[in-house]
Amino acid sequence: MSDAEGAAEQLIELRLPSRLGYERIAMDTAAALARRMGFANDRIDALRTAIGEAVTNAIEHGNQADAAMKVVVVLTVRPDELIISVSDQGRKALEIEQTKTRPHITDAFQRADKGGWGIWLMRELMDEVEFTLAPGGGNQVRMVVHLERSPVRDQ
Amino acid sequence: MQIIFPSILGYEVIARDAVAALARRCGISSERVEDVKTALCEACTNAIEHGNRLDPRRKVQVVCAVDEQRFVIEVRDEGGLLPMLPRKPIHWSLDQRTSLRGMGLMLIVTLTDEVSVVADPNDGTRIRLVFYRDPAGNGASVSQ
Repeated sequence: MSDAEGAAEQLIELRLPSRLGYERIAMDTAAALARRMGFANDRIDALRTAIGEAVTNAIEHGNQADAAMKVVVVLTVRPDELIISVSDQGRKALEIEQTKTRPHITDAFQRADKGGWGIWLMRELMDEVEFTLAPGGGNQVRMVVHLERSPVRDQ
Repeated sequence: MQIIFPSILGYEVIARDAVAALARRCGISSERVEDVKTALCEACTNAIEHGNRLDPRRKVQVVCAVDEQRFVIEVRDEGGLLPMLPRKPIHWSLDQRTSLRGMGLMLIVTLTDEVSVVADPNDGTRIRLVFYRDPAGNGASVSQ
């Protein structure tokens, strides 16, 4: 944690086993936090979807669904934004090319595997998305959502 | 599953929601999930206020473990105080209560199936809340 920034940001860390289903816990936790930060409902839905995709990728691809391997979700709360970082232990590294391509719907329909939309979805839904290496050597995705408070349509 | 958060009042509800989401997905009844939430919040606020003395640099750690019989939550702080757990409710009428201190622990004792606490000046305080998944409460009827 960075002492320098002091009270300007707070970190909440969630460590999950690599078992499908736990992405829901991450989604619910992030949504609970975002609601209390004052995010609008549609932003919270977008956040749920993006974090669900990121954690599912980490479980299925990065950690190859080995339940003993951890997925670490760090939620950084700042006054005007929420940063979500999802990292795995990198049993399988994500190729950089995969993070850039945009799937074609016609190809997607012909493939047996209907996956492959996660990264594209994350980029569509979040304000910033960045793929890096986790400090421990795994894959890490960092996503940022900006808090836009609407004084008129306050929920 | 683990969740780690700063000792700031309000963050206990995020941990509560995370653990409630897990408890629901483990098939724990909604009524019992409410007990889990209340007991966990009490344990977390104790950890924030007493254990970590509201110092945001100190962390509270909530660790959940689930098996066929039990849903176990451990709340750890960096303090090291050893709270005195109150006795079971049957004894309460015999106690002369002079203040509201300790009410949170009474709630925890009432709502959990088992509770234990250990403290170490170097390792902090760990309170362990156990909820039986078997509604009959004996935890022994699950076939392997």
